[in-house]
Amino acid sequence: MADVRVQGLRRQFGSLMAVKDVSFVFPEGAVTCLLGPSGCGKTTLLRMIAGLERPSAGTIRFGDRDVTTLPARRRDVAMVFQYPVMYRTLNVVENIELPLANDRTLTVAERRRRVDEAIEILELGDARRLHIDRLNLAARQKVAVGRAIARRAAVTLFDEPTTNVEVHAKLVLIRAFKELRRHVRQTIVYVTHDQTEAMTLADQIALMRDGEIVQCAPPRELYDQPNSEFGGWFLGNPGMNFLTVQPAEGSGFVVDGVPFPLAAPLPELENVRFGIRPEYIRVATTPLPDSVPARVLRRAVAIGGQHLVTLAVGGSRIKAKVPPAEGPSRGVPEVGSNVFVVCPIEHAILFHRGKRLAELPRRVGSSAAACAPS
Amino acid sequence: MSRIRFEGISKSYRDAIALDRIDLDIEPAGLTAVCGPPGCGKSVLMRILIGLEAPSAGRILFDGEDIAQMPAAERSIGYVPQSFALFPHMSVFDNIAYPMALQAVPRSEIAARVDQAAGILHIRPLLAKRPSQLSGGEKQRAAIARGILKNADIFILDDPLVGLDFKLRESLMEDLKDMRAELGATFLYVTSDPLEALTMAEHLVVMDRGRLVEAGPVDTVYYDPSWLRTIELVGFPRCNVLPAHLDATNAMCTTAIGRLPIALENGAASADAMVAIRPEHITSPASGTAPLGIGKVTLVENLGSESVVYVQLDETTLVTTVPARALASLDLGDPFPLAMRPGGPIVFDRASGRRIGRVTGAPGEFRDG
Amino acid sequence: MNERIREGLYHALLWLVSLVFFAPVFWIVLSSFKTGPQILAVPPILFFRPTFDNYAKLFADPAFEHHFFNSIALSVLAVLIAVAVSFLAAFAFSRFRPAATNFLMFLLLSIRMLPGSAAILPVYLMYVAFGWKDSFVAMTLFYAMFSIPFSVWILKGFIDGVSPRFDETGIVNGASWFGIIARLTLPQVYPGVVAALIFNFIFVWNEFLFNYIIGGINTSNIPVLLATNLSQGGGIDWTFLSSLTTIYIVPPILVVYLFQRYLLVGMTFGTVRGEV
Repeated sequence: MADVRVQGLRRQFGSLMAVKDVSFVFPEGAVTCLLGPSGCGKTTLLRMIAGLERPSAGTIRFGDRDVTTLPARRRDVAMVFQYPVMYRTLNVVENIELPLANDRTLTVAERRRRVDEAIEILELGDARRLHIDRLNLAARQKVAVGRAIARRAAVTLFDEPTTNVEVHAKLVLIRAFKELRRHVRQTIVYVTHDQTEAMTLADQIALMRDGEIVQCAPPRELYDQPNSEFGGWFLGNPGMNFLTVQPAEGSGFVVDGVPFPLAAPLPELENVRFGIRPEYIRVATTPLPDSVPARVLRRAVAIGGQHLVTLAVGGSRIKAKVPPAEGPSRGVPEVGSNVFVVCPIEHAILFHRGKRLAELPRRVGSSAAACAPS
Repeated sequence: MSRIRFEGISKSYRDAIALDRIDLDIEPAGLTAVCGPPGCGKSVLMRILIGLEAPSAGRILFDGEDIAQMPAAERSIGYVPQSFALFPHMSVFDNIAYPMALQAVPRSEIAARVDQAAGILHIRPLLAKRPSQLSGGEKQRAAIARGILKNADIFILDDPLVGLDFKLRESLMEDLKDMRAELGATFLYVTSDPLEALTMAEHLVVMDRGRLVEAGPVDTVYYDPSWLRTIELVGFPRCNVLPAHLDATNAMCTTAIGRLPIALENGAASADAMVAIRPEHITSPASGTAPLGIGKVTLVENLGSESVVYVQLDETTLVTTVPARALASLDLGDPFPLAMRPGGPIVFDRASGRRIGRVTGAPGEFRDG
Repeated sequence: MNERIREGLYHALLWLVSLVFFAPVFWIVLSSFKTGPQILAVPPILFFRPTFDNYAKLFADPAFEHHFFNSIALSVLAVLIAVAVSFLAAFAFSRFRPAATNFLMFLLLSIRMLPGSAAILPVYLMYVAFGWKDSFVAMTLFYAMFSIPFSVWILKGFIDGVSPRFDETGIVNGASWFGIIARLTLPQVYPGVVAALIFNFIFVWNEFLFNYIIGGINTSNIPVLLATNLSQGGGIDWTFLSSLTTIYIVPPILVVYLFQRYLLVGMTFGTVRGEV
């Protein structure tokens, strides 16, 4: 096991820069998810670490070993692909054991132990003597995970392993992965475009965009403290709301007519946007302190019986999540009705030209515990 | 505006029945989502409506007129197929203009209307490009533009967002809803994703294994379904469905998580029932109240604003959603005290799957033998 | 460094193999610029003053013009007819999937697998009975017929790769079948069409047996000319052979060179999917 240090790593395809001089450390023994929209370079970065893609520039080190020019088979990496790559003629145990058999330093007992451990954690006990052909796609992918983990390679890589399995099987795989993590510590780089998967599995998420890592943080922190509008938008279902901010008299600012008093004036108020996640917006039928009038444009049932309400506030559109409630209207105002919304400033983040303002000046007297600067 | 009515539509292929006597009215000028698991027949039903396939039996009526013999091109239906199907040898402009070019619309009018649709869908800068130069989301926008530029009052979108990035789906759903409002046309939206169906739909049609399960306004289908299969298929995360033993005289039913008071609506046929408890009906107990039981966490899916928690209680796994704010970090194997919101869960007959009543309160006693 | 050396060795080996295969062609092209004694000289002469006498003599011969024209006309006409027919057949097989499609496709291919010499007698008898021997039109049709099965196979693979959603988009918007086939499907399978054209062109261009047996003075092509005029005055006429062969290999090379971009895709037999 080792950490992975990439330095100035670049990959160019013709005029397209897929990975732009990335310098980053994947810590030893942690799961780092590379998350981002398609085409952000996450798979290219992973393939360069694996040795399947040659970097155009930069270095890759596993611990103190420079592996930049080594071919994949000499790097000591294990990899799980989108489709399970299996030895078709072997059974489950043999599939997991085969890569270990090449390792002369392993005793037979140790080999057995690792295979049994993988099989037990992944709950493949009933299938251990079954031929691979008799397993479905999800179970095969589990075997592939088991094989990669049993290797105890310096680095274990996952390239969107759940993309091709159906929803329920995906849960089984994710659960197996979580269970595995409780027993085995390995350096894992996991590529996915699915934010739920990343937030569920990762110790830390490296959010990528246009060939660069824009932010790296533990899932909760990445969600609560995005350092860019992109991060706020990309994570969450739906993503963060953004409102354009106008300067106010004295200190503070105005969002669509609502004054937000601050302790100190903002240093610059051009191109500043106010970001707030849908779950923090309160919707009421009567005016509340600091509320703004809004009109309900749409509503839909969302995750776990919540309502996703689309509101017109001034000239902007925002989305709010209303928790499930009982009663005939279920706590949700009708489409077309006029309501009042509160955007609590302690849950808001200010962005300047897409980047988070270093620190949001607090409102006078606000407790604002939820928005500790990162 | 055409009223569409399916009457006893069946479709069978050599060895399989794809559709079994579908009777359905489509609300005009609304967005109807047709949802169901893959292979449930929803796409076949749409293909029959479009005229790409003929039904084995039954009639389709437009304003009371049978259109069985009407060629597809005359049906006044715009169609956005599942896999974009943008012609790779034409520019994006020519792709979008294709339906109008076939209808011999004058060149100047075509240009104006393509420009308008491209504006709504944010693809104006792409018109001169080839489809192969577009990203997945841009291709889908171009395909939608082509579908809606036909002069038609019904538009069918066959799983238009399948395979697209999550964030693209979010913004496309918004644009599609705007577009429907602008066109004022009837949209039929096919999807196998229950959350997408709920987000898009004004009316919801639920299909399963070639049959129509239930149809109606989205709120009715979500909150007051008449069939167990509906509640299983509509909603995210999936509903908890527990076998229950019905005690009709005392208006109680016994489940793995306790005895629940119920109100019967249709008179029970047998004592074998199922109780459907949506994830939002399961909560953590308020401080000071005793939990129904303490389960063990088997998985926490982090969705950002909320988490989906899978809790094992003896042999039963229950799914619940918890707002992220309310959730201290939970790990696998942690204890999870359970409570139930009063009211909400629905009781179904086990054999027929028909709704027979509603749970009226929380479990009276926990895990009554 | 080790990798570099290995890579260099691979390349050297590949060059060597290529040169071995190219040597006969090189020899014949070189010979066409030599005199008769120079061609047969031992050891072979590599440096000499090229002569164009062989070509002058060849072009002066009216038989050359006649045979060259026949080769070109037969190949081009037969191939165009074959590909046009095959395209429609492949479209029908791919889209309408008539009963027993797989069996019919197998049957088609099995015709192509039949060795030519096994079919020559019945074909000869048939052509004689119909009075088609030495008829230019009949010869063209024969080549077209013989080219169709393979073309259908190639093209069906390509058309299968074009999603039926394209056709349906056409149908819904009121396109005719002709419009769907010619304007929506055909442009997406150009590589397949080009591959079929080239494969068949090379087959017809090289064909000797049938031309010799069921053709005649009106239809004979360059391979027949080569065979019949090879022996002159008791020996092989090497100057004639080398100059005619050199000209003979130019058209196929030109065709392959011009279309190689498509050919490489075509070689994958439709596994490159249409844009979906």
